[in-house]
Amino acid sequence: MNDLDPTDRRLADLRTAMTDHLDALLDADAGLRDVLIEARHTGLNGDLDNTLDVAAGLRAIVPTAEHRVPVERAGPATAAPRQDDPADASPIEGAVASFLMSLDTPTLLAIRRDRALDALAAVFFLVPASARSGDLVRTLDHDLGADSAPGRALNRALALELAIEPAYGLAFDLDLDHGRLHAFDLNRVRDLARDLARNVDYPSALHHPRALENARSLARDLNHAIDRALNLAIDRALNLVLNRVRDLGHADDLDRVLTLALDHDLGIAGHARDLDLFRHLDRARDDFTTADLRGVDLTRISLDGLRWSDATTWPSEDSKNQALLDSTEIGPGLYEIRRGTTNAPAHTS
Amino acid sequence: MNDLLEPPPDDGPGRVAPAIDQPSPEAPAPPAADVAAFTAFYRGEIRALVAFLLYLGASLPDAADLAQETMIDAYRGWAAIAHPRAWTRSVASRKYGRRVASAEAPVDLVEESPLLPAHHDVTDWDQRHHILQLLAGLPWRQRQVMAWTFDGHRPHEIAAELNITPQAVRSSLKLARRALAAQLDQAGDDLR
Repeated sequence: MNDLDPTDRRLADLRTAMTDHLDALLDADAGLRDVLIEARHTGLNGDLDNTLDVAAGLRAIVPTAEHRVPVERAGPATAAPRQDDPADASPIEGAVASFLMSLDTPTLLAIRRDRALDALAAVFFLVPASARSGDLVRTLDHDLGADSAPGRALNRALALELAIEPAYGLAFDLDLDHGRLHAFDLNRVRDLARDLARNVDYPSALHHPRALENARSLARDLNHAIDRALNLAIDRALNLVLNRVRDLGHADDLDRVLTLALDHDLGIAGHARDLDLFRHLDRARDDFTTADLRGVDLTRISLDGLRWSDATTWPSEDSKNQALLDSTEIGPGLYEIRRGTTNAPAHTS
Repeated sequence: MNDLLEPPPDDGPGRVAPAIDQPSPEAPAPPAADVAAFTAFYRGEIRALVAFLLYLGASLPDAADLAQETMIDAYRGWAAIAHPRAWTRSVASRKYGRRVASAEAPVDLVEESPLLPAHHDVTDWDQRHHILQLLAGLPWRQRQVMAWTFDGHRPHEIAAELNITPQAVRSSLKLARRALAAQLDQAGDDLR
């Protein structure tokens, strides 16, 4: 500004009067102490202990459907990824999911597609899927051995094939990353499941002793193959996650909290079969239905699979219109961005 | 190595400072030498940062609160901030914008900022300073440009920060100065 300009000079005088007043008013020493003390705390909303307390407290107060209704062991197929209720508003459970929900929006957007979280989601999906498939095979074997109604055996075989298919796909994806070392096991699972379904697809044939024994043999082989293939796939996914945890070895608070959350969830994944950790993690990663994205630079972030709603606030009208173009409406006022429609890499690692 | 937790890169065009208003939460505490550098920066800049927010239109309690928040963020991400002066302006103005746009609860005077001692009377503070009354009469864009100008930024830097052309900055500046001159003339020498 030109100091000689009368307007500028008068404005400068007014500014000087105000800043002199500010000098007398503000206590910079107190402010500085506050910064130095405040910054010693983590930037997170609390550490894992607090997060876990919240989750446990919620479970104690608001029992979720998973706790009230036992899983139907021999029921229809396991829900495949992305088939959960899009309007689900139940409390988020699981330490990693709770941790993700505590992050600010830019950080969550940055890590939600990380390969390690994909692997963790795969573990959460495969553990109960493996257990349910095993249950189905054992029940089927029992039905065949008891010479039950052929129609029931057929239904179980078809349910089993449907249950195996999504788990097979997920396990196979993981396996490909590992150099097809376990592809044989996975292919054997699928082939056996199909053979079994075909075998019991002719109810009259099941009255023939040889056909019945063949079906039972297939069911047992399938049971062993499922155990082996899915366990190998789970090991593979766990290795991915644990490698990531080791990568995060330096001792800052965010890594520590995430590591503890992973330890917690991996510890209960094999036991808490009624707790759908996969669905909760999926929701925590993708649910932006009430997010405020203003001020977030979306240009280098993968939005694949992101769920949003009319309540989502976008950085601009243009970005909202682009999201609409890239999305599928999955419920009234609810949208999901289709995979492959954003120009950022799907994985951050 | 730690790309899982890396914040999204934001080096879009026109930034005069790293565009990270949420410094990486995993950033370790600054070493002692940086604490000294930050302390000097804080003492030298906090008043100007509060004034900058006042020029933008924040009330004094809000300005003190937002400036303090910004300084806390700056301290956490200190090692990664190349141009702290510009960074704090950029972050503080965005914080203020969000507070206005989202109708965040204004600062409760009972929970005053440590910057603003309780024994001072800050009611009608902006009414006591004619510079703020003058700026309040400007359209938003012109007020923004004047706030950045008062803070010592040149038109091309402001253009980069606000993501508009330098010509648009100069145009807003010219209109703002004309409007301010008219108000000053109308008020006469009493305003000096």
